[in-house]
Amino acid sequence: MISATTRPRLASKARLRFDRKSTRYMLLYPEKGLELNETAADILKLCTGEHSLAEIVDQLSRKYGRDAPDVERDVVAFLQTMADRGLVQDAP
Amino acid sequence: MTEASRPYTLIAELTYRCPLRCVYCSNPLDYATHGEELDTDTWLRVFREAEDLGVVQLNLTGGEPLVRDDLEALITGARGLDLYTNLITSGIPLRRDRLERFRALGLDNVQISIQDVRAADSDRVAGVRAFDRKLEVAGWVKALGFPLTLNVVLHRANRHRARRAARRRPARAGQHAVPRLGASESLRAPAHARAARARPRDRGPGAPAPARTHGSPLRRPRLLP
Repeated sequence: MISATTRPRLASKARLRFDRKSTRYMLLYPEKGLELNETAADILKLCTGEHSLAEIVDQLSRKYGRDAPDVERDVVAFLQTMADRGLVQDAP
Repeated sequence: MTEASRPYTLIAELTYRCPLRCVYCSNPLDYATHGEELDTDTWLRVFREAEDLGVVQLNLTGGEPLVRDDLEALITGARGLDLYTNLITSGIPLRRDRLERFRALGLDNVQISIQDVRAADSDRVAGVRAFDRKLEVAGWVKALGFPLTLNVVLHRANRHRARRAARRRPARAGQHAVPRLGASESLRAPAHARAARARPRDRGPGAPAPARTHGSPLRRPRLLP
């Protein structure tokens, strides 16, 4: 379960890569990949295990000029789907 | 090239040589008559051209790719192009120190084939004693921190054990190993037609429908075609 103190990081099998064809970021993992939109890429770039969820929300709400609770709801929902796929986990 | 026709994955069959003799395999056994394998520089050129076409994933396979003594150079070249690099192997000729070297060079993922869930049955299909060795190698793969995929070709002789194959965990694999059924070698195109062919990546398991696509600045990413 994702909480404010969660420090999400990419699973070791997943690698973030900029794709110059689509000019988007991709998240690559064994035999598959996700093409990310700008906000998804912004979230995953912060999933290094160093930043807490609260810090990620703070950075993104300032970048996008949105209220923190709205951003938090979206970030948590997105990270939960990524965690369900085994692509994001909580840093130990 | 449009996004729709863009290739995402290159399957590089580096050699026909293989220590296994799987009964279903389409790999030629008279490979000496098939001419020379592509050399290192040619493969590196193919990788560059593939990446330029849009390829982001590289599968190094064969035959048994470990019999190539230039695998280190090929992995280095592939990672230099930022390709997600996957080694598909029987595991048989692998030494642990070589696997450690691959890890240091940036190899991303290892796929090991097993032919059944029991040693005797697996070895019968493989044509050689290989099962115990495969599990040992799978244990190294996990111990070194690689993601591991187990490939199991399903056929009449083992399909009733498919569930057990799906649960199969290599020795000392730890609790994070989640083997899953992979594409079978026998389902691929004939060997003579696929030496260096790029093909689009298969779509993964169906993604759940987005819970919300409007009113949110954070939309879900879409799965690559």
